[in-house]
Amino acid sequence: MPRRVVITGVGPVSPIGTGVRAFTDALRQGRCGISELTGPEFADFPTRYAGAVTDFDPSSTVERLAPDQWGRTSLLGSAAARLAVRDAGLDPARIPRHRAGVSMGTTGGESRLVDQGTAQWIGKGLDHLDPGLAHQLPASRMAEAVARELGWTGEAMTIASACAAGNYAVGYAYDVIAHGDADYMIAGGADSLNRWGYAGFYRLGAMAARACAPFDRGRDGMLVAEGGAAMLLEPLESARTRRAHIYAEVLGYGLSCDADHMVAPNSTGMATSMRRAHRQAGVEAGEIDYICAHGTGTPSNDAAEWRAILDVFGNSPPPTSSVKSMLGHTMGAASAFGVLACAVGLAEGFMPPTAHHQQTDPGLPHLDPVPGRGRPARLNRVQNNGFAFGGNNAITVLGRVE
Amino acid sequence: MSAVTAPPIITGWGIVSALGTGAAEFTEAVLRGADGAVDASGMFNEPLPRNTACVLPDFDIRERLGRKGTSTYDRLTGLTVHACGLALEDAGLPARAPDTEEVGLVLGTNLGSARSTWEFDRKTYLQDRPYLVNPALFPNAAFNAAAGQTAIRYGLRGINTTLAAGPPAALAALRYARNALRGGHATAMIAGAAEEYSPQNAWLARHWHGDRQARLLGEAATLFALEPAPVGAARRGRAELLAVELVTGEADSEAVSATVEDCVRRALDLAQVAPEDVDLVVTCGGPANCSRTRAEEQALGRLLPQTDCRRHRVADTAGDCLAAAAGVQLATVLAWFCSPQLRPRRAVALVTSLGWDGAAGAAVFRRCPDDRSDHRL
Repeated sequence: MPRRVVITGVGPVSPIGTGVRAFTDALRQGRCGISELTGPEFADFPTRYAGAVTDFDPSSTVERLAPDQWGRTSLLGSAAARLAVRDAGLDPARIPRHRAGVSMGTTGGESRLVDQGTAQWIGKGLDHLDPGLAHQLPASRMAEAVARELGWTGEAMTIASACAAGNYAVGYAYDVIAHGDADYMIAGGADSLNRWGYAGFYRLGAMAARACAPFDRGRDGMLVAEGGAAMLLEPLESARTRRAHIYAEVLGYGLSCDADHMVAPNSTGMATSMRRAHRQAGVEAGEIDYICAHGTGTPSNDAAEWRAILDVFGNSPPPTSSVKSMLGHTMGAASAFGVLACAVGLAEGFMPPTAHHQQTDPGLPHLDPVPGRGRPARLNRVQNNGFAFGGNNAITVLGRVE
Repeated sequence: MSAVTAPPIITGWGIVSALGTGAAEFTEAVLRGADGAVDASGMFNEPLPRNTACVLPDFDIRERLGRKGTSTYDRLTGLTVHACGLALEDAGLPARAPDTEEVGLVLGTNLGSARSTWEFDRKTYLQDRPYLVNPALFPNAAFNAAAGQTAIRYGLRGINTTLAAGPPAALAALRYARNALRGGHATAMIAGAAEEYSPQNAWLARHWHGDRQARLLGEAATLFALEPAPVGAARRGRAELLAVELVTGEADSEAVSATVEDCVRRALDLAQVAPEDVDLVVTCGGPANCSRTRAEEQALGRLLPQTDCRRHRVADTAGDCLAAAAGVQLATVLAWFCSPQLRPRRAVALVTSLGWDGAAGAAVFRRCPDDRSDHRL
C-alpha cells in the first residue's frame, strides 16, 4: 500500500516575493511582479518586460553552498529549498541523510552561463572558455546543489522537461516517497532569465508587450520570468508524528505527450494528462474545486487549455486562474509555483487570482478566472496544470488534509 | 519499506554508436574487441581538442530517417530517433498509435544538444537584432527536443520525460522508468540516454573531467525497452533490472570514492546479490591518471577484493560518451549477456557511474534465462 504524501514546507523565491509570507500576501492581493529589464543583454529588444527576481541575494539564504561556485539557477533552487525546510520546521541535519533526496525541474538549466559562454566563444574561441563557467554549466548540478545545500545524500534528479518540469518533479518525488525509496524529498523547479530564451519567445511572437493577461479578450502573450520554487514532501505519518504544519496532500499526477507538434498547444494531449491525473489520484473531475492553469496568456495556449478543460469537466468547470499573470512564466519553475500556490491556497482558504483581467475572452465559455484578487474559499481538491515544448503535459492533484 | 515486486525486464534495445548500430552489430563489435576511434577532425568547422573520437562521421539524418519531419532535427535528435526505432523493433513493441498510448519515453542527457543551444544563442549576438533568430530551431535549444521529436516520430503518447544527469543519465532514466512502471503510469517504458559529439561538448568536457586532458570522447544513443514482469511468452527478456540506485555527495575525489562505494553497496543490497556473486563489472573508465577514474577503481577494489569477475571499461573502445556513458555500459552488459563466455547462465552484472560533481549511480542486472542463448553466437 503506497504511503500518503504531504507538503509540509514551501519556499518561493519569486518576482512577487521571497518566502512564504511575502509570496502568499502578494498572491492573495493579485500583485504583479513584472518589471522592465535593465541589463545590457536585453537592451536591443523592442520590449523588455519580464518577471525578474531583482532582489535575489543567495548569500542571505543559503547556508552551505559557496555562491561563487554555482550558477544562478542552482542558487535560486537551493535558496528556495532552504526556505522550504525552514518553513517545514525541519532540521535537515537531523534526519537520515541517505533517506532524503531532491527532484528539481528546469527548462534552461544554467541558461545565463550559456549567454556568457557564447560571448566567450565569439570573443576568444571555444578553446578559451572560462573553466569555472564550464564547470558550473551541467544542468544536473541544479538538483545536486539542493542536496549539497541541505547535506542530503539521496538521489538528486534534475528533470529537464521544459516548462512542465515543476509538475514532473513533484510527481516524481511523490512516487519516491509513496513507494518507500525515500522519506523526505525537496521537489520544485528553477530557471533564470537569459538572452537566448527571451529572443526565442520574442521571435515566436509569444511575448506580451507589457502585461500578461491570461484568458482576457485582449491578451497578447506571455512574459518570461525567473525564480525558484521548492517544497518539502514527506509521508503523512511522519508529518503527523512530528506535528508539522501540513499544507496539502499530493493525491497523484498524470503525464502525457502530444506526439504531434513541438510547440503548438494540443488540447487532446492536455485532456489526456488531466484524465490520467484524476485516475491516478482517485478523484472525479467533478470533485476538483479549483484549477491553477498553465495559462501563459498566449491566445493559442489559453484557447487550447480551455478546450481541454471543457472536454474533461463538461460545462461546469471549476474556477480557473493563472498565477503567471503575476509571476510571469518562470519556465521550469512555473508549475512548481503552481503547486506551491495551490498548497498555500488549500491551507489558507483562498483561490489565487488572475491579475490584469478586464474582460473574459468570449471564446472561453463558462470560465470564471477569479479576476483581480484572491477569493476566499474552502478548497478540498485542486488541480495544477503544466504544459511544455515537446508536447510534454503534466498535471498534479492536491487535496486538503484535515 | 519498498513493496516487493518482481524486477522489471529489459525486453529489447537499440543503439547507435561508433561500435555499431543495432543490438546485433554492437554485440558483435564488443565481443570482438573492436575499436571505435576514427578521425573526426573534418566533422566541424570549429577546431577540436583532438583529432580522433568514437563517432559516426557519416551519420546522415535524412539518409537514415528520411525527409519527412526531420528538417529541424539536430544531431542529438537524429541519433535518439534512430536508436528508439531500433529499440521498439527489437522489443517487438508497436511503433504506431493508438497502441503506443501508454508507452513512455525517458531520455537522459547532459545539456540536451549543447551545440544547438550555443548556436541559437550565438545568432542573438551576430544578427543585427538579437531576436532575429530562426524560431523553428528554438525548441532544439531546450533540453527536451530529442524526446519530443522521438515521441512524434513513433506516436509515443505516454510519459515523455527528459532528465539531466551527466554520465549516469541512463541509470537515472532506468530508475525513472522503474518508478513509472511501479506507479502504474505506463505499460512499457523506453529508457536510456543520448549524446552527440560537438565542438562545444569536446571543449567543455575537458573541464568536466577535471583534468584538462583531451581524452577520447564518443557519441551514442542508447535506448532500452523496460516492461513489468512477467513479460508474455512471445517476448524475449534480455535482463532483469534488479536494482538501480543514485546518490549524491561532495565533489572531492576521496568523497567520490566513498559515495560510489556506498551507492554500489546499496544497489547490491537491494538486488540481494553478494559482491562475490557479481560476474561482470562495466565501468566507463578513462585515463589511469584521472582522479575520477582512480576514485571509482579504488571503490570497486574495496567492494570486490578477491573476486575474479570480468571487467570491461567502455571508454577505451567506445569513447567517453558523456551523457550516454552509462547507456553504452548497459549495452555492453547486454552484449556480454549474449556471450557463452560469460557464465553462469544467470550471470549478474554491475554498472557504476560517476556524475560530474560528486553524484554516483549503480545498477545491477541479471541475465534472463533463455534456452537459445547458447546458440546465438
